[in-house]
Amino acid sequence: MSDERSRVSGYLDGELSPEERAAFERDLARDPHLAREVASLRAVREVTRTMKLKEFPDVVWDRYWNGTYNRLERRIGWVLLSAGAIVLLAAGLYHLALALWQDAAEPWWLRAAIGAVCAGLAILFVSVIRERLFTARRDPYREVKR
Amino acid sequence: MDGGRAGRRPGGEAMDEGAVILRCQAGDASAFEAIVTTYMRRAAAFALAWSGSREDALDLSQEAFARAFRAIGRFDAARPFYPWFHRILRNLCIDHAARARRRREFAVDAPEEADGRPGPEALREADETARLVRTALDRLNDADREILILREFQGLRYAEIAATLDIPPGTVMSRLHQARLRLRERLRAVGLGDAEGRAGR
Repeated sequence: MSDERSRVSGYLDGELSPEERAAFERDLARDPHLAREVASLRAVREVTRTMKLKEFPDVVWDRYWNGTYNRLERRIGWVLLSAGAIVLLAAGLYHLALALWQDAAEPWWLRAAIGAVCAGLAILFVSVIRERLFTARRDPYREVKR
Repeated sequence: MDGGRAGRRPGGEAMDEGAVILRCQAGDASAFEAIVTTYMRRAAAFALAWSGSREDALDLSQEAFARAFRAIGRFDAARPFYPWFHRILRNLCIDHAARARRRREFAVDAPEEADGRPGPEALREADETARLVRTALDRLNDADREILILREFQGLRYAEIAATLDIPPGTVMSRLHQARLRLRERLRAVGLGDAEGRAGR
């Protein structure tokens, strides 16, 4: 079930079977090195446990579900708001750019800037789509659990 | 609390987890309340041990539940919920730790003085010990820190740790032991090499 050294942790945590525990205690009685290791790791465990985490007050649990539900609800709100805002912004920019582009009275540099913005957006859009569709799919680390 | 199929809510009533998951997958957000109330303490405690901040712990655990609900359509309702959820929570905690080290909030079981209340000197020493332990824990890799939190701070048995981490029960003892050995090294590195002496006080 476990390697020899790991039995120390199993012993300290009370996770050995009665037979394993008896065998371990026999080893412990005749092996001073093993006894020192048990004492050392017991001390590590006890020191670690002196660091207790503060309890949450009960009011936290009373409000916990509401807080979680609000996140779910607000997420939907944010998605709708963001999608709508993007469409409106894009439409507004499109009409503005079209009006400026088609107005021969506008200076050439303004029309060139509009062309540059449109070209830049198109390049960025294609780049992101390509990354999502191709690069991310072939990423050899995508299944790696952190 | 286990990672099995029949959860038990804090009020004591049993919950058929699989049936609740199916309702959630049908889009019933209110059904998710039973899942959240069953596991919220365990999730928040894990996040608190990881982040050291109660505010962050609540934020992380609630965000993990929200993400779990959004992804619940891809979850196999025949499997226990918590191990799957734990991976979402653990990844959020890792991301959080990578982004920022925030304020720590720890209460320490300080040795008590004769009048029953810890004195200033005892509190100072206990605070310092807790701070050093925290530092040593932070210097461990994520897998070591995770298994130590589950055992030392959440008090899970090996079988429960195996279910939570979705690993064979026989692996828990060796992984935990290796984590303890590395923690001992980190404790020595931060000046808690005399752990035996401190533990005995």
